[in-house]
Amino acid sequence: MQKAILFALACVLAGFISGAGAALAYSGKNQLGGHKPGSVVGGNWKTDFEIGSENASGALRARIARKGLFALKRADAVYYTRSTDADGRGLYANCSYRLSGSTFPAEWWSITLYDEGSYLAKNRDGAASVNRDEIVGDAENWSAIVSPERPNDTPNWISTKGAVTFDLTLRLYRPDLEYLMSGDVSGFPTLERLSCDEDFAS
Amino acid sequence: MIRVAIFASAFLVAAVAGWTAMNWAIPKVIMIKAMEGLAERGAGVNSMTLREPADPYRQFVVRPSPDLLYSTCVYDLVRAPLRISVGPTDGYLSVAFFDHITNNYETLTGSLITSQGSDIILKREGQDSLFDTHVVTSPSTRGLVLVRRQISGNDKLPAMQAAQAEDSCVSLAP
Repeated sequence: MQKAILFALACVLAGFISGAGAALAYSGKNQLGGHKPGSVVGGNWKTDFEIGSENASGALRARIARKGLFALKRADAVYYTRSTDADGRGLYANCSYRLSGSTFPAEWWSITLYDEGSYLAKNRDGAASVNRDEIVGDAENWSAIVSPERPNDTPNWISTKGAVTFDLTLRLYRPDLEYLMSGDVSGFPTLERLSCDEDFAS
Repeated sequence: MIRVAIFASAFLVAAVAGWTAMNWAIPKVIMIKAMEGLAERGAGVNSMTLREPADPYRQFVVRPSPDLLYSTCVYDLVRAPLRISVGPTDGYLSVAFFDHITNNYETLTGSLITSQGSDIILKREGQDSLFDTHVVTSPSTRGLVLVRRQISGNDKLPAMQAAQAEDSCVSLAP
């Protein structure tokens, strides 16, 4: 009988540690993705419309605290993140990509690269992001290069130098929520892998 | 067989409890640490810190935007409300209020700030504001005010920083 009680206590302890450990691991994941229409758009741009809200689940709240502290509610900003290219492969800093997009349903937007630790990649290139006011070219059909070296053929560049893997976050400020949440959206940027270093193995 | 079911149930119930407890604790702990860090590396509590633009070597929080100019005020309303003032600028401007568990309970945007004047009173429930201006009520005694300004180009930065210099966060305690 005593053995059975001890075993039951061990089960409770193991269960508690397992649950807490799973929550800790889950909250450390970068990629979001809610279940509402519009939560996953343009291939693999993911968001959760409950970010910043009092209605956010405990798991989402924990995740945002670790990976996007001080995020605004959806009425003021929507944050989409993608961590794969157009073919579903992970994003690697020693590869080059073409990011191509259009206008967004928002007053202002920016796209920023973050390293595997969710910080700006450590480099002095001054090219951590592109935004609506600084993108050069046709606003309806723009493109930028995401690569470790500055491209020769375009000023629109996001540097991957200093990262190993990375993801991109698209911020839409004062967005057209009705349109975004309809689930029927277009114009989100594609991300095409162009090349990788010769010693790249993945 | 019954014994196995009891042990399995105990494991599952405890796992759910562990999951819930950890998800409850993470935002609280991170917010406490973040507010302590922001106050220590800034102007302290109930005072506005004018942040330099974020870059790879100057990141005060995870995932900062290099396209925004931030001001922060870690607040404690235990003694009195605060008066928040924000310098108006062109382009995107917001004043966001976060409680002690990361909820973004209020955000004022540029047009609203301009139309109501740049002064905002931040108080907790039960406190009198005594001022005829926009009042925000915090659900918690402690929290954070975060001002965001769109930069969009180094040539605009001096103008943005001049407006930022007007940001303030002052306790109304006698």
